[in-house]
Amino acid sequence: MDVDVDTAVRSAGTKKKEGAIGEYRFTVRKPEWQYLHLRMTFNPPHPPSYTSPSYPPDLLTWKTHLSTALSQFLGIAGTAIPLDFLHLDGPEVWIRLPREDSTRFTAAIGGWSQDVDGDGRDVGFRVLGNTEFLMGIVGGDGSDLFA
Amino acid sequence: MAQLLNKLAHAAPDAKCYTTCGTLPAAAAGSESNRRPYTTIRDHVYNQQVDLLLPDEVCELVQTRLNEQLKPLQYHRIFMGLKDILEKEFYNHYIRQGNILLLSDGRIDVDDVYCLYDGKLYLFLKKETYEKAGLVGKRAAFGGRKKERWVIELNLREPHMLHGRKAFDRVLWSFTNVFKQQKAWLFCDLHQEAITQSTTPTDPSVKFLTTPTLQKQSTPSLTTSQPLTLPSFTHKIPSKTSPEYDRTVFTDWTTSLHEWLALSTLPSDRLATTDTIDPLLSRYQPPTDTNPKTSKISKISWRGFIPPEYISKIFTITQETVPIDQWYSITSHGFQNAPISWKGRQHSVIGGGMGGENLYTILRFANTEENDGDAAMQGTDTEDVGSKYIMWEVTGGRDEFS
Repeated sequence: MDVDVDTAVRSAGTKKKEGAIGEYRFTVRKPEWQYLHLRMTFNPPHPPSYTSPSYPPDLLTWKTHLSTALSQFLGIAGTAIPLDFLHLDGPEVWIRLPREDSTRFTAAIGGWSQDVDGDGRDVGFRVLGNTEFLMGIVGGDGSDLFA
Repeated sequence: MAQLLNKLAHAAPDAKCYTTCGTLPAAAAGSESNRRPYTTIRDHVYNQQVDLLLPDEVCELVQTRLNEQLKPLQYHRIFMGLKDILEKEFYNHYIRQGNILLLSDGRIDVDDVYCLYDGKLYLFLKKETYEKAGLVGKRAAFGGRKKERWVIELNLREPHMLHGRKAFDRVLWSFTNVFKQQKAWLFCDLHQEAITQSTTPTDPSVKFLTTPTLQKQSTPSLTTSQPLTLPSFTHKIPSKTSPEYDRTVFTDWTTSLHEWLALSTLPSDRLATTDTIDPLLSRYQPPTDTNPKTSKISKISWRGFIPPEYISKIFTITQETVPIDQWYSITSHGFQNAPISWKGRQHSVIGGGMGGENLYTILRFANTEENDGDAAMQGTDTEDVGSKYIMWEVTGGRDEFS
């Protein structure tokens, strides 16, 4: 993690009005984590109101499918990427992983698609959001307001 | 392969999170204040979602107060071309005399996107469009996918920007002959009081505009969570002379507090007090005290085309209403594809739903005895007896805001 303490404010005190009054300000770049918002996609897709014991997928199913994708693209090093599942909502999850691994991770899961259950339905992943600060993917992007 | 991927990771500049710790002015007239966080709220122009997080106990009070003092926000979705905003009556009424906020649809890395605030029109253009436009602009800080974008800035309130004047006719010609495309726009009249008086609900159109419009309203929605594990809200704020170690610990704490606030916005399963996740699936731990407190958390949420003035009001009302011994946080999410993040600062995205961060969060702490003694800050003025706050401002890597 890179942290710059705002020097302008630190040396302020006397001249610069802003920040002079007990304000402590710093910039965070390259934080420890990267956050992803993923959706599991099915081809052909399930009907909108479809539910079954295996759909929407639970976290263990997520873990298994992601591991398969990672080991296929990156081998055993891929499966070693530590993942934290932060939230599950229908076919979507919010996960956290080390920032350094995120490019590799998205490359591995982005191209993966497989008929895992042998029922003629391909499973894949879609990256809906990708950010270094979780707050960046918990609100929408605003494009739906134009519709 | 791994080397190549590592290079890719650094191709785009990293998003930044500006963190500010300070004290809110105690005076009620704080909204006029020229200090953070008020300036941050006022200058963040294009907001699409505002989330207010509160402990459940104070939620009802705040909600009542907000309903009393705030009218639901009115805004419009319009389908029009760029030249329509120069139609004489619309132009004189809304842009020269009134004050409106406009934003057009499109992606700022591949499309032409236009926006207007304070009478200033920004055209954020692809190279081809810029070359045809016949108007003077400058190269944008953010190049988009083709690495080359241009921005034209027109102050429509300048004295010579009137119908019949040469400079104006030039713009009119350009808008009529080059910018022919009809787009979806969001429109918000900043004189909200005037709208409800002059327009009847049966007439949803914007005055002086012939193109189809759709009136929308933003009313807050309330959700209350299950009991959640609360983080530790007290921490010693380091002074400018603190050792490096103290400052690093503090930085880590603020980062995990921000993460916690984001999780409680969802609200995440991991924060539920009943959560029993296996470490195989998640090792997330909230940044708690040794004896973590739990509480239900309420979220009051607005969605729409929300002008900064409206958020200032929400913030002021909340600040006045929430008792001093309770905390709250307010988060505003900007439009990912707004050409401007904070006033006059260009915004950027990486593309494909990434790097378009453009948001801020303000967390006001509960003012407890323990907190007071602990977090004594250097250079505290006598007038600063208000509550402490932390503000996080997240922007994309190529944003101009700093």
